[in-house]
Amino acid sequence: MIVGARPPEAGTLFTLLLGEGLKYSPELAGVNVLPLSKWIASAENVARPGDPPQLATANATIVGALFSEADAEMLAGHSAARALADALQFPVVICDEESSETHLSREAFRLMADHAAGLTLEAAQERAALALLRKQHMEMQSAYVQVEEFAYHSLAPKFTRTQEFRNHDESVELKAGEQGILQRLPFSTHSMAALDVYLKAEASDDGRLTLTLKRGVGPDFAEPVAVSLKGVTPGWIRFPFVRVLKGAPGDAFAAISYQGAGSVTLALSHPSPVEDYCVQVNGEQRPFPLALRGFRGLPGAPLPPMQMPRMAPPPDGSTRMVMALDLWPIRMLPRLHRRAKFFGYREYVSADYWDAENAFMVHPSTERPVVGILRNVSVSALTRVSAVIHLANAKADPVAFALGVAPAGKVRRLGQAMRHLNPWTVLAAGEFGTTEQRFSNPLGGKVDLLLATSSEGREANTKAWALFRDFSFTNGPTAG
Amino acid sequence: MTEAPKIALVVPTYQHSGLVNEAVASALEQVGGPDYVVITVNDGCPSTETRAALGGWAGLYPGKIHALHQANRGLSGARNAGIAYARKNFPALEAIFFLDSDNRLEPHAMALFGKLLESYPKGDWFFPHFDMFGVESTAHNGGPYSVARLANSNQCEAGSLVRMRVFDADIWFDESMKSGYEDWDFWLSASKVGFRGQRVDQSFFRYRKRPESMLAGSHANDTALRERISEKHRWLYARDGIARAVAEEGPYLLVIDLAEGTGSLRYAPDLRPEPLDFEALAAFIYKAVAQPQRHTLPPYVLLARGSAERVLDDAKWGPSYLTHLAQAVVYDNAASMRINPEVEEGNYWFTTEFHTSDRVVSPKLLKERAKERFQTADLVMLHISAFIHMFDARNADQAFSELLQGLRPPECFAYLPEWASPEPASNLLSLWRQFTERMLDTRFSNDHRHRFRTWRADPALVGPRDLPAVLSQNALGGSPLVFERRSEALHVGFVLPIIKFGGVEKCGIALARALRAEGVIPHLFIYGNQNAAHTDWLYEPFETVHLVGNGTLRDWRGPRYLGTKMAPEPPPEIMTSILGPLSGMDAVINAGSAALHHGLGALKRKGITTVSWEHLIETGPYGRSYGTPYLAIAYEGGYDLILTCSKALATWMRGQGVPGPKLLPIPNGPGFPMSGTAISDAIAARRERAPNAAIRVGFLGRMDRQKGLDRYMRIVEACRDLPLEFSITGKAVLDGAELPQIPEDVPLHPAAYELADVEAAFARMDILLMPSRDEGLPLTIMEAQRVGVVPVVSNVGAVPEAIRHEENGFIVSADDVVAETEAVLRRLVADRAELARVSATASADEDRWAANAKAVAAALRERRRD
Repeated sequence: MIVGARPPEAGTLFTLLLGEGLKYSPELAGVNVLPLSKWIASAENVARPGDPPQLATANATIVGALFSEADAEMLAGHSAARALADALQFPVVICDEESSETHLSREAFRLMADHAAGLTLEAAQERAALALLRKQHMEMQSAYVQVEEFAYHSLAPKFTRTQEFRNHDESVELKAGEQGILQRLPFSTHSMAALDVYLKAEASDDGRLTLTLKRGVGPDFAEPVAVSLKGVTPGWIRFPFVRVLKGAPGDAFAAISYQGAGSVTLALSHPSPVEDYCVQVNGEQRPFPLALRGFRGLPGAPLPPMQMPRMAPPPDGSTRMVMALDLWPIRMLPRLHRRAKFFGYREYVSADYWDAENAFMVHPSTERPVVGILRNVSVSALTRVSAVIHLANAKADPVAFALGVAPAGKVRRLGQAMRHLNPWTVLAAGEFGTTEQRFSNPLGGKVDLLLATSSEGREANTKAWALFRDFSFTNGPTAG
Repeated sequence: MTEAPKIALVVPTYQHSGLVNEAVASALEQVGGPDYVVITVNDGCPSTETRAALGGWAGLYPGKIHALHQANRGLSGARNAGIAYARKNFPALEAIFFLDSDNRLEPHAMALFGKLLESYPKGDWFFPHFDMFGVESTAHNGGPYSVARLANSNQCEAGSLVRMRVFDADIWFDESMKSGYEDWDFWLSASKVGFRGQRVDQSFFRYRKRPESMLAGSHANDTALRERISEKHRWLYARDGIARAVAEEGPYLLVIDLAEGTGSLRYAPDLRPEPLDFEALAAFIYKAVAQPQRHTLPPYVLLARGSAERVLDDAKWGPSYLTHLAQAVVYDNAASMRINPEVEEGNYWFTTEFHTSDRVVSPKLLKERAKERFQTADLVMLHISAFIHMFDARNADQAFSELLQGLRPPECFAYLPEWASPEPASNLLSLWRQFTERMLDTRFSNDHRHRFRTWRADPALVGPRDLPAVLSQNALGGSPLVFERRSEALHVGFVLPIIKFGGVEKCGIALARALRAEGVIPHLFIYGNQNAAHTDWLYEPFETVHLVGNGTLRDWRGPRYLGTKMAPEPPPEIMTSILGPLSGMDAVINAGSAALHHGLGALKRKGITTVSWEHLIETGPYGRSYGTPYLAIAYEGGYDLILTCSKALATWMRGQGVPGPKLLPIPNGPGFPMSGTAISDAIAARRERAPNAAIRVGFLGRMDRQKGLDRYMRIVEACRDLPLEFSITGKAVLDGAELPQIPEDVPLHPAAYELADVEAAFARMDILLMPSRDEGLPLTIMEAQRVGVVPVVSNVGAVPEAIRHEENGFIVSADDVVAETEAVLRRLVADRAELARVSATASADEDRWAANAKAVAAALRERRRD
């Protein structure tokens, strides 16, 4: 929004040039009548020092000129003024030297009318263009909203992990009231969704960390984000933004401060040879960056509440998102009892985390289901868990997906997992879908998640990129 | 109304009547920062929309936005108009930002400008990253500001904040540049007078990138514009301006002592070291690994075992060794050098190897050969890209495997007296491997290092990693010689195909010595022969000495010009190896290198004055004349000046069509130095001889048919009855004719090379006989005259220019040498007073080389191209 505009003072917007060869001058209100010679004399010389003069007019709109023949000749003989006049393309009316005031006023009025007509037409064209732009903008907005709804409600916001600085041996202690940490981010701010830092040790229950994304010079990128440290065990903790950041890519610094009793210890990363990435702690530079990792999402999209799987969320019935990355690592369950001779599958199978997709890939088999297991997820009163599923390769045969939950440590083999895996959802190649489990008796404590896929009955399992993307957990008295 | 703004935004516009509104709107959306004004400039746009748009903005924001309208002058003229208007109307301005009408500013730009002006007082302008919208991309601005890299590509976007002091120094945009690159020209003009840019490490400006702007920079236009830039900025592009800029901006060389694991950054031109311990070295290297296009790097890395880098400390030869290695790295990623402690048979031996790509050799064999080279080397030079790439590897095996793939490292040689090679067990390759393993284990080395890359892409510009290419592209494809340039002194390169004890070499050395007194600094380049005499006085006058020894440079099997064979054009890798080191000279004097003729055009385009120095027209067995003067005529268009050893030769060349003003005869003088005291002592010793002592008659020179040794022996026999003592000093040269029998009573002294031996040779004679069949203007005549030895010489070549008959010597007829020489000897035996008179006159002649040097220095200064 442009502020500060104000209407011009009367008589300053338009100028009419008047030749000195005319005996009379027109009576005009609201227009600056400027003699030709004065116009030439007052024109700005905007040439380089030492060069011949180059004239320009400043802050004047010349609607036209009333000249006598002699005036026109005089202007033609002044090369710099003539060049400027040619560039400005104002209309010139040649009048008789003895032209009366009335005649001159009439001609001047005609010039003004022509100018006004031109401006009116141009303004009309601008308005037409603006109207079209508004229409397109509205259409685009509507379409965007639809994409957002589809992406957000149907698929869950897709997150990708950006660069990270992995946690290492060194650490930094922050106390309340101190300046805190300033860390340059190794990724741009565009579509930034969240930032993780690594908590080295438990903090006091009333402790809180606040993150502000700062610009070198200029306003902050977003509102500060605060994260409570109550009950948080050591590991990665997340600062999610209310909305994924929009705008052009920019360079940002993460400013982190601590509020509360005692102190908090955050991990630093490997030593950096590049000074730009060295962390500043209370104004002093250390030769290490802060351990951190960043996530991107859909620009402008609001972020749902997130759950960190190390901490059981309150049983308040809210549905929280859990990123695949936060549930890692995944293991593949063996087929048979460990004393059996043959453990494996004849064809290629796997259970992996795909970094670029922020998803688990459980490659199915045509023989029997393949199950990946995510152990020791903390829940308080789990009533529902769901995952976005996706058969990513367009050339794959259909694959069946299932999501199961078992008490932690109870499932060690495929056979044990199968009783927890129902229902199954079949996807065709390229399709997205969801799979879920609901529990009439809420589960508490630690659970294992079971991610199962199957291509039983198909001819081959090639290109079966069966992905489990973002998960939703509902903990609480009300299911769904 | 903005009363006293500190910053002006100049927005030139032409044909962007719609987009300019976005630019102006973005300019108005500023939050914080100092007061500013917006000066829009309508550059004579034919569209009324533009006038209406700018006029409308000025009307809405009087005093804040100013609308200038002018006749079309082009983008440079529009910017200049904005500058002129700003200076005149807002005297308190500190800086101007140029916002093209299709670009945008971010709202915090003004706040950032205020901070930059305050925080970087030395920054004369502040340039942005390449943040583009439209065709989206974000690239960084390429590391610290560098004049050397600016010579090859424009690091500074026009959307920069420029302090008023730049305009106050009369640096404005060139309005004759209407086809593009006017901003590049502006930064170069500012750099010329000492202004420097400062990069901004935060986004604040967005550049609209549209497909048609990509097409606008077509290759054809780019080439023409670059040539124009290069012509306009000779201060940088001529000679070695860019190499000196590289040297001024950062270290030229990173030297690593492989055994100790320490390093040093060496700064040109004197290669003074700045030591680094292992930690600092590792940090330096890994910073480059992480962000090779953002951090200043030296163009070369030298790995040394023991203290081998000492070879670089030799003021005269060190630059040559470095140049050889750098030259090899122009075409290959690595080169090796072996140090020899001794010369062989009184000679330095240099066989210069070149990159070869034509022979097909199995990869396995190539690898083995490369390993062998590195095992026996004392020094290895690596291209900086190849070096830092090694530390991208996971382990040493991978690092070496990738480096050695396809590598054919050329081998160079250096000399260091008393160099003791370290034990074979600590050969360079094994030390290198240990060092690499140690580096890969360091705390910086883990896959984490990849996370230290900047999120911005590298720009499509010359970056710090590309400095070797910058150096070679601007050194005629080769490697420049690194030397200290002293104020306004002319640096002149003498190019010779051989350095033994021939007359041509001695003339060059004598002239070089005399030029020093005229404030000219001579350098010696020996292009051709693979060995050079190891005699100090030959090199003493020269600031540096550089040898390129390769048979191709002595190849005379090219076509003929008027009967004289020319040299075929050498392959590019050899041609660039001889031109590159010359690129820093103000003038090059070619005294006999046939291959160099092919590089004259390139040297001249670099602003180097080209000079040929001609000595001798030879005569073939059938009496046909031939020789290098014919080649000078063939290539006359490529030379600015032709020196001749005699007036007669100059006259001959004029007769062949060479314009008079291009010719400068500099008659030869003595070919070896003697101090004034030594000369006086020699003259006094001769005069103190007993009046009736036998007159000593000597022959000094090559014992061959051309020099007339056979005639000398006949003269000896004819004068048997005279009280004369004959002697010969020289070396036998087999020229197809039999060597005449030399009687036992005619002592034969070995050829004299060392100064003391040459002085002794003249000390043992009173008369010098030169019964030659062919000569130019022999140096021996003047050497003899200098110490009072009376020359008796056959009338060939330009001998009359050195001898005034019966005054300072005697000339005998070429048709009757023996008889006339005998007559002269009899006369001098009979009249010892005449011998003494002629001896005294001969020794009183002026120092020719001093006069020659004055004339040459004046001619070079007159022809200097700046």
